[in-house]
Formats: sequence, structure tokens, C-alpha cells
Amino acid sequence: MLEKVFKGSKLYYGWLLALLVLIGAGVLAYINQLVNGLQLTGMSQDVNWGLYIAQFTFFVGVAASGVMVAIPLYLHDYKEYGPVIIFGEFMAVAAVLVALLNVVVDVGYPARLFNVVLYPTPHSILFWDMVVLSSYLLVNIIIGWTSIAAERKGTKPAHWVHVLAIIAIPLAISIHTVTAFIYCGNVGRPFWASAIVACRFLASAFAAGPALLLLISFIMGKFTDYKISDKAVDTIAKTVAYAILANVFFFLLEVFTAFYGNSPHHTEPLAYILFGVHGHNQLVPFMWAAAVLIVIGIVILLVKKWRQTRGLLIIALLCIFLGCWMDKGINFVLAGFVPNSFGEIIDYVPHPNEIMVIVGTFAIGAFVLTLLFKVALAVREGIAQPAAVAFSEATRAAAENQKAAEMEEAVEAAKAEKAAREAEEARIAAEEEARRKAEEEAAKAAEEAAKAAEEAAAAAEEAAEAPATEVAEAAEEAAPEAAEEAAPAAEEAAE
Amino acid sequence: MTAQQHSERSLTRRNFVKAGAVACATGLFALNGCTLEEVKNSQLASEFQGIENKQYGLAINVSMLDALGGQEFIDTIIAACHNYHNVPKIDDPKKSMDWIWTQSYEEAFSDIASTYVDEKTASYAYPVMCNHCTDPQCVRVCPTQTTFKRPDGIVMMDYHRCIGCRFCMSACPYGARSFNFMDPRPYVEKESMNPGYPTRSKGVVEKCTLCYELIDQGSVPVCVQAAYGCITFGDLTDENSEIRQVLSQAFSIRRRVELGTGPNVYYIFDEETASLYANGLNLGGAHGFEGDLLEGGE
Ligand code: SF4
Ligand code: SF4
Ligand code: SF4
Repeated sequence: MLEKVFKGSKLYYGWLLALLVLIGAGVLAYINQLVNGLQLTGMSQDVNWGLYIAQFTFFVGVAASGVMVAIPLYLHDYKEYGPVIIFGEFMAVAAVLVALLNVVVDVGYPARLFNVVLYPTPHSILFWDMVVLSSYLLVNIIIGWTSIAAERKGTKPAHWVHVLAIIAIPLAISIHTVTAFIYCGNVGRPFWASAIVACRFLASAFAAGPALLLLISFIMGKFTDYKISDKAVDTIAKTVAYAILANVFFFLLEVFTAFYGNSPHHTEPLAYILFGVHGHNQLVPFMWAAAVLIVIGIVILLVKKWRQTRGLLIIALLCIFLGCWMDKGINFVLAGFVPNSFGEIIDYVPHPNEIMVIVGTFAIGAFVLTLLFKVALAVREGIAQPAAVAFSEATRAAAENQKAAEMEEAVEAAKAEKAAREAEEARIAAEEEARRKAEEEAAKAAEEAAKAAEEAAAAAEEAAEAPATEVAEAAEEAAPEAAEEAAPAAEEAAE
Repeated sequence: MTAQQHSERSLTRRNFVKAGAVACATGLFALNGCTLEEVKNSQLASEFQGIENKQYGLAINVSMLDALGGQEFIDTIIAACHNYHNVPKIDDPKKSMDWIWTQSYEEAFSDIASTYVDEKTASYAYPVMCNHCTDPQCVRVCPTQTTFKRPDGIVMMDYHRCIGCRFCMSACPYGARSFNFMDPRPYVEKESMNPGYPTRSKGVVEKCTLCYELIDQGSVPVCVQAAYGCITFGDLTDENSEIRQVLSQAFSIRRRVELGTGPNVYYIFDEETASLYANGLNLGGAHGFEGDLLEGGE
């Protein structure tokens, strides 16, 4: 499958070349840092972590956010995400890579990095970070690769891949939680030592990550055949909206707890990023820019009509991604060192070399992402063309099957109708017979009544002939009465 | 899909999740259970045979330091430590390396600093260094066991193992650690260099080691020797030790106690002894310590 990365348009090669240039510059800057030491960064004895560790933190979040696509698909069978998941997984791979690279460039003695494995130390959170991050990276590479290989063969991924995909869900949550633990275990740094850090991390990750996924999807849609369904776009956009709202809420909880309690330990770092302290206000612009960007993003995402307008959606996603990055990729780490253990505030001024190294790590991430996405897209296109025959045959067969099934159904329906009609006819016949019998009986009864009347009349005649005319009259009267009496009886019988 | 099929599917799904969770948990326990104990034990067995359970610490009499010259006097102590340990002299305050240095009362004790503190307390210079904490944050977070606690309480470092992640610096609530942002060797002054003590390389963290190498030889730390009695060294768990005697006789405080790290550097306020001392009762005899130390280091 790897050969797919070599076939591409001019634009594709141009893009890769541009990234390679940036990677080259980053590597040179890193070599410079290896030779001269970490003095080529903005870090100091007081602010001993800087933009490297901040990028690490931010991109672990981007990596973890893959679950926002995986959970609906794997746990709730939300089919809309089927075609998206592979890109979510590959994005996670690239993001973990960027995160790990930023750790590598951050350590002072990278040649000894392997000591973390040689002397495993379970009481160190960094040890656990290494465990979960490498597991997550491996799991995502395996899932992504086997899924795409299966797609190429036109089969479904093996069952164990599905199992692995579900194992990846708690693993994704864990990578960002463990990253948060790196910070919140430091009792001496009140800005970090807060139980809500992990929640805030996850919330902002679940906003920034899916936002990036959508933005990349739109870019891919522009230059390739890749299509992401509008329904999927809207669902992901809603995920972003909920997550960013949660993040804002968690941040406001921090603000309330700090300022209502008003303990200087808690208020000072927050005051430092919100307003500046003693003239130190270098992070204030980032804080407020992030706030404005995030509010713009939230407003657009909350209004359904705006959210579903592609141009506005892109603006919202950009705003939220950038806002989250300023919050976590700059401010969170740096503000943790304010004030230092002597109540002093030491500013962090990034070094150009360090920025170049970071750009290099981003470029490596983008490069890997491009290649992975290229493979995934090429495999999809491959399925769409040579395999088209097989596909159309399969659809035709399916259609025929369906037709046959429909016909069978029609026959069944006709049969049922016929039976129903027969039953109805039988019922009508039975009713008619019953009526005929009743009528016959009624007629018989009427006949009998008439006979009785006749007899009565004859008797009356006889009587009239013999005694007086009054009796004859009475008898004549009686006869119709008898006939009248006989009539209802006949009627009843008919009924 | 029928309802039954559906419930079957979600059931198997749930089982996967369960199985995964169980597998993870077992893994965790296995890892936690063996490695921690094993590493600790082997380390102890090989390196610290014969070291008893103690908690070494320092008691710094700041009143006496002030009586002997305050900042100026403390600077000589700092120089003694830094020269002995080949700590590089870097002028940029953001990258400067310090094993021991001074802070003001307000800075060193920002958590307890009183607004209307007496002039003397406010004017003292307070030497600060690693507190060799009873429950050290730096040891807990170090991913390579580069930083570890010896049975005698010294929080020590193996400079050959440090990866330079600086997690220990983030964790230490006392700012006691310095990172080599550049190659330290050009910054170690030639004339004051101690050939008997190793230099470090760039990219590793270092800090006060409580002069474990001198203690192992039965001596006391450099700063204690250089302080003419203003700093007392000893085992805090032994009630007959000199340091416990000193602490039992005067008012003392420690830095940031509320964090639970258990710092073992005490600051003593003792005007009375200080004035006696300033009058020259106990001076003399301590000069020339550098020569002794260099021999000890070799
Ligand atoms: S003072 Fe800092 S470096 Fe020293 S033992 Fe305590 S936590 Fe560790
Ligand atoms: S910088 Fe060195 S001593 Fe400090 S935590 Fe990292 S490996 Fe341990
Ligand atoms: S105990 Fe030793 S290493 Fe620590 S400050 Fe004193 S002289 Fe320096």
C-alpha cells in the first residue's frame, strides 16, 4: 500500500516539498540546540518548561480527540462516521508523533532518553505517560493500517481490529488524563495543582481536535475526491460546540474558586494571565485573544443556520482551534510558573531557534499526516475504479434479490386477498341462505295464518247462516284480527 | 437487525471493554508491584551498604550569619560550596547555576512573611538550598530514578543518568534545582576549580547534595565548615545530635511547611548567641578549610 504515497499531483509534491524544507530548517535548528544546549529557548531556571512542553500537551489532546469520532461509531453504531474514522485515527497518529517529538526536543540529554525504559519508575507520571502514549500510538497505527488494508481488499477488518478500536477509547482518555497528572501533582504550583485540570484538558481537546479534523477534511475535499457527509460535519460541529462550552465552564470554575476564595496562591497566576501582575503582562494578549476567538466560535456554532453555512463554520472552527491552542499551547504551562517559589515573576521570551524547532515538529506531523491520508484516499479511489465492476455487480445482485423478494411478497398479498374475498363470499352466501330460510318460514307462517283466517271466516259464515246476523258480524270482525295477529308472527319469523 | 441481534452485539461489545479494563488493571499491578521494590532494593544493597536510617539536615542560625557580616559573609560560604563542587558561574540570572544562594525574608518565607516584621528579621539574608525533604517531590516525579533518597535522608542525584526532562524542577517547591542550559565547563573558573570533584555536562539538572561525599568520609558539608558554626549539620532523628541540641534552644522556622514535603533545613533566630559570637568568643581555628576539603575530595 505504501507505493500509493509516490503517485500524486504536482500540488501534492509541491506541498510535500514545502514541508520538507520546513523539516530541514527544524532539524538544523535542533542540531544548533544540541550543540549549544537549551539556552536557545526562552526557558530559565524559574520557568523550566516552555513552548515545547506546551505543544506536547496540546497535541496529546488532539490525539486523544479521535475518540469523539470513535465513540459514536463503535459504541453507538453511528454509521455517518464510518468513512471519517480512518482519518481520525491517522490524525491521532500524527498528533502523537508531534507530541513525542516535542518531548524529545525538550529534554536536555536526549541520548539518554532510553533511561526511562531502562529504569522504569512507576511513581513517576512521565513513566506512565510514556506507557499510554506509546500504546496509543501503536494501537492507532495498527487499527488505521489494518482497516485501510481491509478496505482495499473489499473486506471488513478482522474482528480483533474492532476489539482494538474499543480498547483505544479508554486509552485515548488516559493519554490526556495522564498528561494532566504531570501538572496537577505539583503541590508547589497552585495554577496546576487543581483537580479540574484533566477535565479542562479533555474538554479543550475534544473541541480543538475535531475542529482540526473538520478543517483538514474541508481542505482534502477541495483538492481530492474525499467527501464527508453534511450530516457528519454537523454532528462533529455540535461535538465541538459542547466540548468548548464545557471547557469555558471549567475555566470559569477555576476563576470563581480562585477569586472568591481570594487566596493569593490561586489568584496570582490567574491574575497574571487575565490582567498582568506588577507590569508583567506578556500572556495577557493571548488570554484575551483566546477568549474572543472562543466566544466567536461558540456563537457561530450555536446558531444552527450559521453552523450549517460552510464559510461561517470554517471561521468558527479556526477560532476555536486557535483559541484552544493559545489557552493550552501557550498560557497553561507558562502561567504555572508564576509566581516562582520566592514570589517572583520571571517572563518567558521565546527564542527564534526554539520556534523553528517547533515549526519543524509541526511540519513532520503534517508530512506524516499527508502521506497517511494519501494512502487512505488512494485506496478509496482504487476501490471506486477497478473494483467498480465488482461493486456494481454486487449492487445489481442485491437489487435483484430485492426484486424477487418484492414479487414474492406481491404473490403472497394476492393470495391473501383472494382468500379474504372467498371468505367474504362465503359469508354473504351463508347470510343469504339464512335469509331465504327465514323468508320461507315466514311465508309458511303467513300461509298458516291465512288458512286459520279462512277457517275462521268459514266458521263465521257457518255461524251466520245458522243464528243471528250479530254473531256473523262478530265473526267477520274476528277473522281479520286473527289475520292481523298472524302477521307479526310471520314478520318475526322472516327476521 | 432484530432486537435480539442488537442486544447480542452490544453485549459482546461491553465484554470487550470489560476485558480490556481488566487486562489493563492487571498490567498496572504487575508493573507497580515488582519494579518499584526491586529497583529500590538493588540500589540500596549495592550503593548504601552500612548506611543507617537517618535524616540529615541543617540548622542555619541567621542571626549569627548576620552578626558575622550578613550577605558578605554568606557570599564566602556560597563561594566555598560552588568552588568545591565546580558549580559554573553564569551571570545571566535566567540561566545561572546555584546550589546555595540567598533570598530576602519576604522571598524565602513568602507564605508566612509578616507585614510588620521587625527590622532585623527583614534585613537578614537567608541562605537557601535543597531541603533534603523527608517526602521529596523531586524524587517522586523523576522518571529515571536519577534523583533518589538515601536511607540517611540525603536527596541525591546521579548525573550520569539524568535525561534533563526538568520534571524535578517543576515539582520542587523550593526552586532548589538548576539546569545546565549550556556546557558548564567553560563557566567553571580555572583558578578556583576543584580537580577532585567531577564537572557536569550540559542538559542535566544539579543541586546541593548535602556534600554526601564528605559525610561518607565522616566529615561535614563544605558550607558548615565555611560558616564558622553558624550552620549546624546532623541527624534530625537522633535527639542527642548536635543539630537537635541547637534546635531545642532557639526559635526556628522552615520554608513552605504546609506543602507536606518535610523540609530539613531549619532557620534559627538567636540574637543572644549571635551577639556573643560577634564579640569574638568563638572565632578562630576554622581558617584554611579549603585545603582540607580538597584533600578530602580526592
Ligand atoms: S528541596 Fe526540592 S530538590 Fe530538595 S529534596 Fe526537596 S523537593 Fe527535592
Ligand atoms: S531532569 Fe533529571 S533528575 Fe530531574 S526529573 Fe528529569 S531525569 Fe530526573
Ligand atoms: S551542603 Fe554541601 S552542597 Fe549543599 S549547600 Fe552546603 S556545601 Fe553546598
